[in-house]
Amino acid sequence: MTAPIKVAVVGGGCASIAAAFELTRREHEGRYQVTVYQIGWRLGGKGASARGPGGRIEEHGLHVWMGWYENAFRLVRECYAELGRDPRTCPIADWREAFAPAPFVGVAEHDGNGRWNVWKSLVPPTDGLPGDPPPDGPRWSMRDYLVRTAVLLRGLFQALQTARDGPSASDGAGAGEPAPEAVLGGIARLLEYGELATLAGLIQGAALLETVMGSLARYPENVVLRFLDSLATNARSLLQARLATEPGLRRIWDVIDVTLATLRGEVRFGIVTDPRGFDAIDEYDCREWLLLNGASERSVDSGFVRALYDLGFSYEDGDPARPRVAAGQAVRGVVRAFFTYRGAFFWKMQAGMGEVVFAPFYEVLRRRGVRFEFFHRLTNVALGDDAESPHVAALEFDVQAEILGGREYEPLIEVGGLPCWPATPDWRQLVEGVRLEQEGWQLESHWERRKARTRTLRVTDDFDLVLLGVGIGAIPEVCREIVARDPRWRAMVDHVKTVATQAFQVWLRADMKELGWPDAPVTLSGFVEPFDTWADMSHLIPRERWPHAPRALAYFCNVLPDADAPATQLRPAYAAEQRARVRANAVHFLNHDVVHLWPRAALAPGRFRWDLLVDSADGTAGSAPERGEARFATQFWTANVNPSDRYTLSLPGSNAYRISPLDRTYDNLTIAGDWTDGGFNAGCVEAAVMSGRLAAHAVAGAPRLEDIVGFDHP
Amino acid sequence: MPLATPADPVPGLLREYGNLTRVALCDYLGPRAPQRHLYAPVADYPRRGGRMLRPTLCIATARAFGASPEEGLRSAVALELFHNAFLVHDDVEDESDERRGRPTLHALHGVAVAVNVGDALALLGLRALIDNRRSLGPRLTMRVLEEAERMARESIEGQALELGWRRDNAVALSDADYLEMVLKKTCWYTTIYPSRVGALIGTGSDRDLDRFIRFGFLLGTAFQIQDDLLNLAGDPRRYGKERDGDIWEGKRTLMLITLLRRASADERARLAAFLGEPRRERRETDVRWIRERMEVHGCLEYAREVAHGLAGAAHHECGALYAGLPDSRDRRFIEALPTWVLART
Amino acid sequence: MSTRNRVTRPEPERTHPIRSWSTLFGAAEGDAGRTDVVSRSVDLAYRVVDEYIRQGQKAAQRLSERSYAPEAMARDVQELTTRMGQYASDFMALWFELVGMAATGAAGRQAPARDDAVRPAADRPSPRRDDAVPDALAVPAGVRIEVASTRPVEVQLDLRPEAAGARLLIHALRAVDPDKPRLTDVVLEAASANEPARLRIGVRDDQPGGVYTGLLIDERTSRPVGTLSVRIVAAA
Repeated sequence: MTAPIKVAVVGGGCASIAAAFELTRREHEGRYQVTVYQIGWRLGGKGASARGPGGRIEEHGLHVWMGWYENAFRLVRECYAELGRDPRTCPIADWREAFAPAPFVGVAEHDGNGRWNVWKSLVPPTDGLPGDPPPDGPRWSMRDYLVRTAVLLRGLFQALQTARDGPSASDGAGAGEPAPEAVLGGIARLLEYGELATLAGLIQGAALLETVMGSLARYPENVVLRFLDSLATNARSLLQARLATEPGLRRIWDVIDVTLATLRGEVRFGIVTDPRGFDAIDEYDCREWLLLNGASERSVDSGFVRALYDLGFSYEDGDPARPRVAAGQAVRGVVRAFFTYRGAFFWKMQAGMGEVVFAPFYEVLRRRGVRFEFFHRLTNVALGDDAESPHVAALEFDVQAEILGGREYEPLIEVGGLPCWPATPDWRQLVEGVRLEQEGWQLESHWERRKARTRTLRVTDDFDLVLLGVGIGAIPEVCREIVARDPRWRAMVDHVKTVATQAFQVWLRADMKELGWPDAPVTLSGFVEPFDTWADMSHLIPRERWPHAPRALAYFCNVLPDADAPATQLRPAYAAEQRARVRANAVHFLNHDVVHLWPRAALAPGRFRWDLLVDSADGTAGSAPERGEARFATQFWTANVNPSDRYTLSLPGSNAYRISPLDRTYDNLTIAGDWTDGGFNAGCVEAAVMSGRLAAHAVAGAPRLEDIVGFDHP
Repeated sequence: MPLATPADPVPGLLREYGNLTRVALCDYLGPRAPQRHLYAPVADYPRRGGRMLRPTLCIATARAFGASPEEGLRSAVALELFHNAFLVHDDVEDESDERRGRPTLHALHGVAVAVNVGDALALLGLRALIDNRRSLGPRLTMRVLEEAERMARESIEGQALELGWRRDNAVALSDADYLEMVLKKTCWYTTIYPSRVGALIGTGSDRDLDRFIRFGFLLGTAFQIQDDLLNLAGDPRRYGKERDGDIWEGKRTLMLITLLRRASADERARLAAFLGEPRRERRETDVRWIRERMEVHGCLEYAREVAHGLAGAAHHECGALYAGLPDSRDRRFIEALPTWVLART
Repeated sequence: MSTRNRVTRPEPERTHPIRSWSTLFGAAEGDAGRTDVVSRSVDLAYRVVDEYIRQGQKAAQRLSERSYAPEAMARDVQELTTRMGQYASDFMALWFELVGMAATGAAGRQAPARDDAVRPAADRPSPRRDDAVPDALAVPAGVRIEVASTRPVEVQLDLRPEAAGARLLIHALRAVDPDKPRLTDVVLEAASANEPARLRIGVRDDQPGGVYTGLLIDERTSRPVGTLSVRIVAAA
């Protein structure tokens, strides 16, 4: 038996962990000896979470999983199955305890009169569960897409009915398609008003469209376009009279308008037959492309479209005035998100992402023999001299701290029966740990350069292959040799941009209903800057260790525009400044904006009820509770400004500059992350996992490319 | 007798290991009571001969991995007994008249006896596997038994799939449905089990037997498709069942599934009606019409190409699986199988 | 520096996703040529078998723990052989439906029963008086089926012509999967002068979904004369 191939995986985020999981599968029979090198004390990268005071969960932002994350769920399910936790001792033993369906979504819209309307919708659940074996036969077809359109529209009609007539007994009762009688009843009610008679016609039109699209090749293109145009015109003229008076109707119209424009564009731009699929329109911004295809300005500026941009943080340089996303990637994302989700549209984790995802994977990987080297910061990827076979000759690291006794670092702590990642490293395991703690070493910070020593790994002696899973923000610095001599890498770091993000979490002593939000827990986007996305995460409170449990928990997140030019970002004080800025943003938001969502959370206009905030130190001896705005200091907030923590954007025209993990320019190097050309080129967990699986394929030939769900996809 | 040339190791080994198996088989078919209604008919099918592909593959694999012929023999005998048990039951439920040139067992003795005989053959096979403990030791014997249990279960499930299609008159089957059914019903006991058990016995280890599933599946499916093609286009004397028998039975072969897919609406309706009739009501004119439609729509050609492709893939998998082994007649036999499977008549 | 040759990555089979739309339509409506058929079918075959293997590996993990102590082995062997025997007889039951149809159809071909072990009916002791049912009145065509179940149930009863006039027994119904408990609440009441034969089936709420089959035995000859198959829809 030949010696195992040593694979150095740098970075411990979603992509790297997925790759490590693939490379150490049973069928490889130990062929790959994997070592993961990680800065600081936690795995997870942008997905890392920690446990802070009171065992409270502290995340980088909002990590909601979507029902179309087939690769991510599949690996998570396999991980849990392999982990085999004992349900008697562990509160999250099965993957279904780790993820719960969250079908309620919300979009916030400003009505132009200083008021915010929130549009809540129950996205209907579908068959199966994400990560189930893929169905046989054709994967996602246009026909499926259109069928799903009809189903989605039905769900929106349901929400419309609820908004008009108030919540009824059958409202949001949860799982299951709305009963035909309920839908027919709703339509009958609408039909009372006469001019809605062709709503049924619209549905019939969609059914006809389904037939047409099912065998598009048989229909001349101009016939199809004319059909789509007449559908749009009829629908618009039908609903025009009611647009002004029925905001609920207008929202549905926005979705219909955008959908019709998309279909029209797909036919006009020949995406149906273009071998590049959706990539063919990546030069355009999505909204720009929709306008080109007949969508109205109003629909394109609607809360629905804006929410989609928000979910993807799609603002160039974080500037809310510059929403930009590559049209092809956007449409691909919408098609996958809305028409291929299984089970629920969103799936919420039932604890922090660190304990739901990264701790289980860490345990399984360790059992399989993967080695973890924490406190290793990559400083340089050094290339070999051989011009004919360019390759990585050495990896240079800063070893931030040594482990006492040369042992392996044990990174997990237990909170409430769950293995978790702590908010600070376990100083007692580190050499001179007490001193490091006192001196305040920020081991995850880009600006922290103190270290115990350096370490250089050499090819063949210490590693054979390198899997680079650091965020693209770090690439210019750590891959400076490659970027200097390789124009493709230079173009990549120039065009594939990132954006910083900000987030805060508040624990409240009143529940949502008391604060004036009457509905079920929601994930809502499209709200005001700077915190346009809100998720009710109250279900996590039992997971935390509060002496007196709060009644509600809210997460807010958004982009963080770069206030300074990149050069000035190198100043050591930058991180602290941004953190202070986020705090100020949050305080302002709570004082002025959140009242639109929680009407009873304000004492008076501009004054948040600061006493609502719960602190883990409340009631303990010696604590002097803060009053007023100062109380915010007890909550959690973060400015994600580390270069490698910045969120990856999909700007128009940037797709072409991404490099694939399969690219073999450097014959012992592969890359992994949501910034690579991994098939789904956007910043999300699924893209990272797909990329990691691709990187594993690049190393081992497995998994088969056909097995990476969604890789072969228009 | 033609010389077995190095270029064609298959017939030679089939003959040699086939004879070995036949002789060992007799130990289990010996004189016992009740003779007339059980043990005589039990010996009938096995004695009618047959290609002995399965037991040969089993012994050859075991030897290729280093075992002696005796070590693999009993498992090969068991497999041949199971095979005959399936044949007996198959013929009953397909209502076939002929098997290997003679009337089927149920035609000779009645359905009840035939069914009983089939069960008895299966249990004799089990007996042979238990007897393995004399030469393989307890651990390997257990593992081989487990493999046999899995093989039996897969075959039965595959059979149930196909029966279900016939009973429900399924007419909208995809190639993937067909592949899944053949994988379970035929490949497990024709190619996958012999390879796995052979490797198990030869290496003494059950590490990663799953890699034989791919090879066995590709080879076995090519084998089955070729078998079905021969039923339509081969020499009935050499083949052993009546010509077009599969069409009479309404068996969902790849050709039939392809025809259902390619036929016009009218043709499909007529075909579905035919398939919905019980066998005794089916007419010769319909059978000939179906056969002709298959030609017209290129179904046989399609199936030939698919079999060709799968055999090629099997050849590729074979290379990966057996590359590290020392050269031997047995290894060359296995490597020649993908070609042989297509070339036989 | 080690003298070992430097390890490199393998060449990938391709480096880009297939985005052309036709991947979405799956099986083509028309054939595009020889190599296309061959490569597509090989592709499909790999997908089918890889998926199959993936699912099988989970099942295989169950078998990994095994004791080889003699008592344990004896028990295991017995368990295995029982299961295999069950498969055979369950399968026989499943086949029997078709066999029944085959038998009626092949009646012309079937050789007359030559079973020496069963004496001709005339030699048997006459049936007990309260069971004496004139042949003319025992009409199996009128079988009343009563099902007590909270879930949808499909019942299929096949009787051979020989069942006419016979007193029938039925054993508990079994599913192919040996782990499913038997359907035991099945009672067959013979026809009487005023009433047709009655088949009563009771399905417990916790009975797993699936198909349960069993044989109807002629009490007099101990021969099977029909099959009963009950399909229980699995609880949602």
